[in-house]
Amino acid sequence: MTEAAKPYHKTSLEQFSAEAQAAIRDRALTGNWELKRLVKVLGELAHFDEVNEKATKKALGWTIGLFVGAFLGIFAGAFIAAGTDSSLGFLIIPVLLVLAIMRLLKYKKLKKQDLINDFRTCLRPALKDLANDLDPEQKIKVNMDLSGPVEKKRISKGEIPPGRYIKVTESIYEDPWCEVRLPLVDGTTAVIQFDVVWHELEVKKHGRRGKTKFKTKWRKECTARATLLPPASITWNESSLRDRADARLEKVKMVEKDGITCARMERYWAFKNTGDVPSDAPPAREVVGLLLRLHSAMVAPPEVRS
Amino acid sequence: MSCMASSGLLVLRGCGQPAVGACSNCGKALCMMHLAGGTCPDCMATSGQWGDNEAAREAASRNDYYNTYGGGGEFGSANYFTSGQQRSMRPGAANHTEDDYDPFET
Repeated sequence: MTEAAKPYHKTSLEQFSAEAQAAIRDRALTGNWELKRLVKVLGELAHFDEVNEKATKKALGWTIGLFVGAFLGIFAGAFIAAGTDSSLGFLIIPVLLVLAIMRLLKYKKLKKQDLINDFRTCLRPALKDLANDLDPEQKIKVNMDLSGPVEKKRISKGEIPPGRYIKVTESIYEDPWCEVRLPLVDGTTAVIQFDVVWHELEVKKHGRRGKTKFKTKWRKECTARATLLPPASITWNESSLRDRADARLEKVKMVEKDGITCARMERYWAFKNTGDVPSDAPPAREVVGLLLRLHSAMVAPPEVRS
Repeated sequence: MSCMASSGLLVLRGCGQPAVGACSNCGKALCMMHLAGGTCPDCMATSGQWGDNEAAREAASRNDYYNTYGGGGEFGSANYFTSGQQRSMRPGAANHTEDDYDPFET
């Protein structure tokens, strides 16, 4: 009799495999992987990230609620004091404040564990779509940084022309978060690289009633770069490839690698959000679409090996 | 005779396993695994009733990709897919006869 699978409902790390635990702790995933194992570990990370995101939102809600409660406690305490001649009612304020601070600390801890969403909304579905094209005898080389826009990735911070606002400070983070090398059944290697440039705008502005307000806006600029490295020199139908690229968002480039001409296609996306970093990511289909067009531009593709 | 069910997305190829029967809709030769649903994965994908059949889901996904990224004629411009393969990718491909399609044609 098999043991029933334990339901995943908490973010406690013990429920995950050793590789997933290490990836969560390091907020990174590297090494050479078999497809099934990689998809499984990415699935565990996806589950962790989804649960962690919900817990983060919940902790933030509680923090705000408790701070508001502590503020309202002043009036409640005054009301109780007036009715009972006792100042014990004011005790509610420090209690709520302590609870609010505890929730705030929890929120900050959860926020620090947050992973970039792109691996679960883009990379994992793309790997599943490509599963039958991958050589089962070869391993997938992975180098992923899942930490998103953190301090060490910040390349600049400075004021920019504020326009209609009082002051705008822009921080830019460079985040080349992923490179995967996929060995295909015909001996070709497909390399997918994802680069993100995060723009964080801290805006100081006048509110409707003349009060000064602060707002954080995010812009996420994503580039996916797909390169096909054939095992031997082949001819590319470059004009067909260029015809099939969307000139507004995509670039086609032929590159030389070890004397072999390789084809590369890049696609660009931009996402915006206010308050928190944008959770959107490039659609997996569009990333696989780059590889599909590249591979079909081989005039005589290599023979299938297995 | 080998199974004529297609596999892969970038590297489209035949299944290659020994055939044990034929698709009840298009007559394509199929192996034990691809015969499981009665019809071939492509026919199931075209009819939109693949349930939990992994091969049919793969076929539907493949058709979707090929339709989005200029399947059919445009793929042929790179001399990649054979004319038989191009026909099999088009909607309504399930109605073609067995002679129209040879995944091993070079």
